[in-house]
Amino acid sequence: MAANAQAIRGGQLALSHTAELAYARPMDNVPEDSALMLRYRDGDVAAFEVLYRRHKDAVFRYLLRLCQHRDTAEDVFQDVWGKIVKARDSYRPTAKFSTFLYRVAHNCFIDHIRRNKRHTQTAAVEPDSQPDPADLPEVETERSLARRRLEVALQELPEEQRDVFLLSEEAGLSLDQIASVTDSNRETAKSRLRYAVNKLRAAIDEPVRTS
Amino acid sequence: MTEERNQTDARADALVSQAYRDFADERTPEHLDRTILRAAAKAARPRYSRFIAWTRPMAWAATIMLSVALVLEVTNSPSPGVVSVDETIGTFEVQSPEADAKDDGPADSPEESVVPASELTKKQSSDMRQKAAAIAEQEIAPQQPEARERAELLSDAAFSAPVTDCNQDAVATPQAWLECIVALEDADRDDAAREQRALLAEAFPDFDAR
Repeated sequence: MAANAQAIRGGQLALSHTAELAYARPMDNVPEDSALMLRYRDGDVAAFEVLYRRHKDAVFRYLLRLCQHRDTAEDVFQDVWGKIVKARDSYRPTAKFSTFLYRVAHNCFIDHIRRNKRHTQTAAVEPDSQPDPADLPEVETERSLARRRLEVALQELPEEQRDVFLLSEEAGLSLDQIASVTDSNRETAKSRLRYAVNKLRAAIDEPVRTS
Repeated sequence: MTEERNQTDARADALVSQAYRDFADERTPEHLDRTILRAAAKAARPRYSRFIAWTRPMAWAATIMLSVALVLEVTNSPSPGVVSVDETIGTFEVQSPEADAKDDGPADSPEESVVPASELTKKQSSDMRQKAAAIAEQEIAPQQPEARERAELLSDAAFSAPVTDCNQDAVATPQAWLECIVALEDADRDDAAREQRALLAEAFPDFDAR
């Protein structure tokens, strides 16, 4: 019951947040990503700025959760947009721009792992935000507990499952697009997403069950 | 059964999704925004912008300079077909028929082949007039009839002058003047010869001009 109320409150919050989300479906009078990229290819820097502001936070969060290290995520983030800038001359709007963008991000992350051994599973996204049961204030709500559990569960997910979940959540990609980005087939992507969601749901539900 | 399962999964997805969005609110650091947007603006600048910026003024400058040079050249050069009378009358020298014959071989002394115009016979002067007219016709474009007319008139004047009068060189000494008068007589210009003879007698009363 408490979980449902939390979900409703969370839903209201999420609704207002969704409007700002980078992957929110563009309105009719808003230029498409591909059109903006083509305009940038023709020298329109303002078009790139619109495109960048539309996607930057989602891409950053995607890389932050994948890398689990802020400095690494910033490096890879810069690398990703550098590649997008370089690719402007050869860009062809054959696929959805976000698919292209997250494919570049995914590949940059993979390259970074291969190149740099700094990436380790033990590194934390934000050490300060790690839940330490001893430091938890007594007044902390069930909702914030659930959030912390979800965060930890997300970090503990296998890399492929986390990748698929983040591509679904942050980029808003379909299963086919996720499969394309991760170089896998649709069924594999679907299976990974299901496993990821189930684990995360279990982490959210855990406090409810214990209470 | 499958539909129910899908609905349950969908509800679970929404729950997880909302919970995730609730805490995933990190934003890109501003220094990254600045760096990337600066790099994007720099990359969008045309590679040869500096060169292109100079191209247009340079082209204008080159065009103006060439135009001015062309106008000055046209203004200073004499119009085609116009021959100065001063250059021709009295000082006109042509090659004699003997010199023409030597043209095929090497000329030892170019001065030897030059004959004063006063010594030209009537036939020679007629030939020269024809040659000059032919040259004038070749060199002057047919679309310039006025210039051609003027050139023909001047060539006539140039070739008739030495036969009619004796030039300054010819009247410098009484002997040369007499030779010029003889040449005029030979050319059947008796009136001119008589006039020159009178002038010679007036200028050199002691000289025997007979």
